[in-house]
Amino acid sequence: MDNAQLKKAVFNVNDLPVLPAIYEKIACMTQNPSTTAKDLARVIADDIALTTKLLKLVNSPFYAFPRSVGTIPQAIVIIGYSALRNLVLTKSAFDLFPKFYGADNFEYFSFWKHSVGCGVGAKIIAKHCEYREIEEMFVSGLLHDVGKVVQEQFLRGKFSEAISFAYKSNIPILEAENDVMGFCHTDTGNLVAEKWNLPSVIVEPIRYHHKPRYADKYRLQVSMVHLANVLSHALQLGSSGQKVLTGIDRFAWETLGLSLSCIEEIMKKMLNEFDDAVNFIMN
Amino acid sequence: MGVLNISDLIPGMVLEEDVVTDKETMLLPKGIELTERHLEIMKTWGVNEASVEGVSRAEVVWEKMGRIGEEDRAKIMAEVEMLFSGFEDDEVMNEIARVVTKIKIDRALSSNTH
Repeated sequence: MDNAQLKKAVFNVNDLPVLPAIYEKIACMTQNPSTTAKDLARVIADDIALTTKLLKLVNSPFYAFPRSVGTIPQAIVIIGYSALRNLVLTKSAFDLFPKFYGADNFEYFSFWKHSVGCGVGAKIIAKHCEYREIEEMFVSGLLHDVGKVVQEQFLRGKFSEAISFAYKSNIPILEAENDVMGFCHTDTGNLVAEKWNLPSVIVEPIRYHHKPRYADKYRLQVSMVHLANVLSHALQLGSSGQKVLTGIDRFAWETLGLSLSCIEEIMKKMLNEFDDAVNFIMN
Repeated sequence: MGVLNISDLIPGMVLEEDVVTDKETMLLPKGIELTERHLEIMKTWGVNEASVEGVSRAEVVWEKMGRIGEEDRAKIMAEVEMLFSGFEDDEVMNEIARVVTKIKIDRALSSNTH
């Protein structure tokens, strides 16, 4: 189903959640070459929760900065504009949805854990592929199933029916959604991502993570999220509402160009980084 | 016999193929018996696999399986089989299943020793 049909048939697009204004502001400012770290810091400083997250991120072992970073402009210079934009997006999107309770058969906490697992995986795979924008891959992985939470919020009955159907028939949730609703979470995700004006490099993984060969411009990024999603399921990091695995798409595997031996390394790193990432995102 | 991941290589195994870096620089010739020092050299150069005589990827897991109890073994095999059924012919999914099995065995081993 394309966006126009979906909008008409199912969602009133005005009802869909909007991202907080701060994301648009930061996204716009970081595109502008004359924006300074101080300009950005003034906007960030108004949001205490965001400031705390930024300082926590920059002082995490991941950036391994030799001394503790205490000021916002410094933190912004160290992580860079694009990582800052992705951090704001992560937090903004996350604040829109419940963290713990959903319908009887949809558990948000478990769902977010699966999503964090996928984000961590995408970031680690990106490093293996020598792709530099790792924070962008993290947020793409984290948001890959955003369509599911929108469905949970706006189509409760139907979506809940699809989840039960997937469980009962032992099929992937995507197939159950198509049977019950006539569209699936990647369609819904695409609609929301479009409304949020997200960059295509993040929209395409949301839309195509189950069919990477249809990706348009960002096949590598879509393939990274595709693999990360399967690995997060295989490692049973949280749950996205189905008990069967979906396979690795041949096209995606060839696009990544990884050797079989990389899989073990990637999966072990995912396990090592998972708990910290859950704490970072959920607290 | 097979390519093993670096974490599965142990001193005493015999190289079946030359070990080269991704820039095709020769590191270790085939036929030599691996030592701790060799494994360190491979890690330093970012080499993450090597072909050795007489043991395959799958056998590494089978060997580990032998070290856990009957009950744990049955449970792990059932879990992995359920998760990965239908993907038996897919080499990537097979490797993922193998790693999942290994991780589960390691967990069983460490919970038994604690």
